[in-house]
Amino acid sequence: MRAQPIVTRGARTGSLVQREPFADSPLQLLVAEDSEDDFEILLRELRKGGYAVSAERVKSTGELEDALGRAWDLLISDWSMPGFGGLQVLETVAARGLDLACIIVSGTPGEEAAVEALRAGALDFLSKDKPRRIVPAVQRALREAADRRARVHVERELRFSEARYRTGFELAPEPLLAYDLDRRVILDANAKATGLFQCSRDDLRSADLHALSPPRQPDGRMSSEAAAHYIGRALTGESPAFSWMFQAHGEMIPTETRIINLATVGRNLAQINISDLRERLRADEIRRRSAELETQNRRIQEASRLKSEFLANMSHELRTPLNAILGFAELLHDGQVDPASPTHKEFLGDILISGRHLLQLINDVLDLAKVEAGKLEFRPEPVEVPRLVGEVIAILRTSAAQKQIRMETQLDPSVAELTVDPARLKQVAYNYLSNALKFTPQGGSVTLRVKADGEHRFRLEVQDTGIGIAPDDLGRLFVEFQQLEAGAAKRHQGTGLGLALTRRLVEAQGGSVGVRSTVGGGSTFHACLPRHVIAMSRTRTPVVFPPSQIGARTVLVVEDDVRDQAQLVAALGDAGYAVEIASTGAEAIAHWRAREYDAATIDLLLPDMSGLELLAALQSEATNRRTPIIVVTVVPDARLVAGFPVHDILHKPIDRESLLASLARAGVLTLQPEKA
Amino acid sequence: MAGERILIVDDNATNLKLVAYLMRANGYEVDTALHAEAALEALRNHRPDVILMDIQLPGIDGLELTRRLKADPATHDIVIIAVTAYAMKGDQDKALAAGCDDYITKPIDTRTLPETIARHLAGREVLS
Repeated sequence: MRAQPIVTRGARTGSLVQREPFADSPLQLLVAEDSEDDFEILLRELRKGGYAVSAERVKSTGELEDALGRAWDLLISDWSMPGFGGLQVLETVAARGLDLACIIVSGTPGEEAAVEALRAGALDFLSKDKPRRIVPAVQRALREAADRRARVHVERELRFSEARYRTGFELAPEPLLAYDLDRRVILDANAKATGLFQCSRDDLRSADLHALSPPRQPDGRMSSEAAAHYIGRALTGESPAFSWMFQAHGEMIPTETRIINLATVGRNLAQINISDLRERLRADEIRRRSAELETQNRRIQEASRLKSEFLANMSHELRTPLNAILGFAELLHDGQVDPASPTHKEFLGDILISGRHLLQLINDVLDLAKVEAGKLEFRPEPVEVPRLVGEVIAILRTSAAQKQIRMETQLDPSVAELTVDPARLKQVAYNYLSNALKFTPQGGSVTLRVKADGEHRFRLEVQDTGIGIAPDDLGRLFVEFQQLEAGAAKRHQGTGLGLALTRRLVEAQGGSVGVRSTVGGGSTFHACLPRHVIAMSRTRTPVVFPPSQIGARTVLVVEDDVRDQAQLVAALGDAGYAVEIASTGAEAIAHWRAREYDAATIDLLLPDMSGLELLAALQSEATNRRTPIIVVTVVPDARLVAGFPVHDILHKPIDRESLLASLARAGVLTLQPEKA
Repeated sequence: MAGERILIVDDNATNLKLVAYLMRANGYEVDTALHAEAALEALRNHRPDVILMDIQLPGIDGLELTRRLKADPATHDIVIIAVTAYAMKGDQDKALAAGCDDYITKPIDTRTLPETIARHLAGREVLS
């Protein structure tokens, strides 16, 4: 029968093979015995029992100490020897901390001695009278010794493994929680976890996951419910990994969390591994921002390039009509053209046309600059579409008639009433229509449609039977100064800004523009806008120039030209008036409604409405009914403002004396400020 | 100088009219062209002594047309003066690099342009 090894370990802990009779290697037996005979009897009995024995006999403490330095399977000691005893032997073995099976034999067995021997660590106490008991006792002792060694070994292994686990847990580079899935509480936390949650191990113990989390996860789930879900999955044996938001002292901690079911332990324990994503997210954020900055930088460079290009084009476009104006004027002035000739008149006409072109260009550029700077205000108001369209058509009727172009309108009654800025909508319709008239040959037709575009938007469309646009050119249409080549007829017909301005006006109101076209088949331009535009541009507070003294009279200055504004402010401010400025008709109306003024000066050339429209609008307001209005204009013609309650008309550039005299005549006097 | 021929290339009809009038008043034979193709057509009919070349033209622009004429032995010694509304930094360099003999910005000075042209023609005579 072969011995069954229970545990086999290296020489360090000694042989742990359970010794059975007929084992391969002889039993290493140490015997403390003074009697040679008894020793021989013992050996004989063991050999009879089948043991191969390699024995050594010691007779004194000195010999015993020597022998214990070597490895033994078993020690059998006589109880009483001269100058030496079984108790002493057991004590020596114990003192050396040896795990050695010991059996005591005695020629004079007594109960007292037996108890003493067993207490001192003996596995058995035998009488020399009954040598037949030796073999079973040895067998038992060896078995017990082997069992004990195995037990010790397992315990040591367990302690070792636990220590290893504890060290791994404690020193893990990531936050770990030991978690009881049944009771749903944290059992333990490692240093990283206490660091993460900024609280002590005791604070973490017996807390549940959702107590360390915000009430809701970023996806909207309640943290308690979501945690229960994952714990439930862990209980079924899964080890779920998921994104989880923890919270510590108010700070959100985004993590990747994994509940690892430690089913092997026997209880429903889990280890929760937490991977703090903040650093990674921060790094991502930094990367994202730097990418954003790069994009922004590129955009700025592109914008700067476009701006330079715009300036170059501007310079070119301004110089072109100026060339005609100055050139012809020089010829006429220098007497190079007979004043009586038709050529003389023709050249004057060229000067006029170029001058008007230049003015249009400047107006468009100013509008563009305002839209771009976000300074163009939109004043949405209820608008009757048929009336508005009628007004625009009326302006263009003559030019259409000259080219025998039929102008039609198709207005959808469902969008007859809108809330839009009427001046801006007119501008859009005008730009599209005049563009269409330019590129439509004699006898063609131009159709303006206003129709619904979904529930909340409307679409203004202008269709022509003109020359059409090549697909490659469509993208350039709405870009500043990108006039398309249209043969010799191209120049002089526009500023190259009309469509760009239209696009910006529409986009600034939350709309979009577009065009469909086929070469030779005409074009359809459209603008889609909300039916009810919200006043989006910031409401500007009036620019106020504080009076030099309390109780000063306040004058509203309606003037879009910055230099003229400055002149008026200087003149009025020096004289002790407070001044508020409105740069557009819309702004003027807003200010007019907001407070009472002592007087107002109004420029008749405003970007968004004519001076006469503004006068009519102001007249219809309930506020400022007695406020004297002084019209300041380059063309001081009283007939212009006939029918409006205008106190005075002054000539530009403004003459300080006549302005103050006019205010004085209106009774709007102010004390001269003290000279500093 | 009277009777010498000038080709004026400009896509702006009004400006073309102005310069043409000015040149005729100064005794030149004048041809005009609104674009490069028309200019090449005019060159086939009459060889001018001077070309006043606008830079921004539809299709082939003034710089490209100048390069072609200066590369062609048949037209290479025609005086080409850029007359352009491109007056930003670098525009003059571009014109001269393309082969223009001179560069004048718009608005033109009607009182000095004839002199400038006369000077170029005189210089050319000295050279030949």
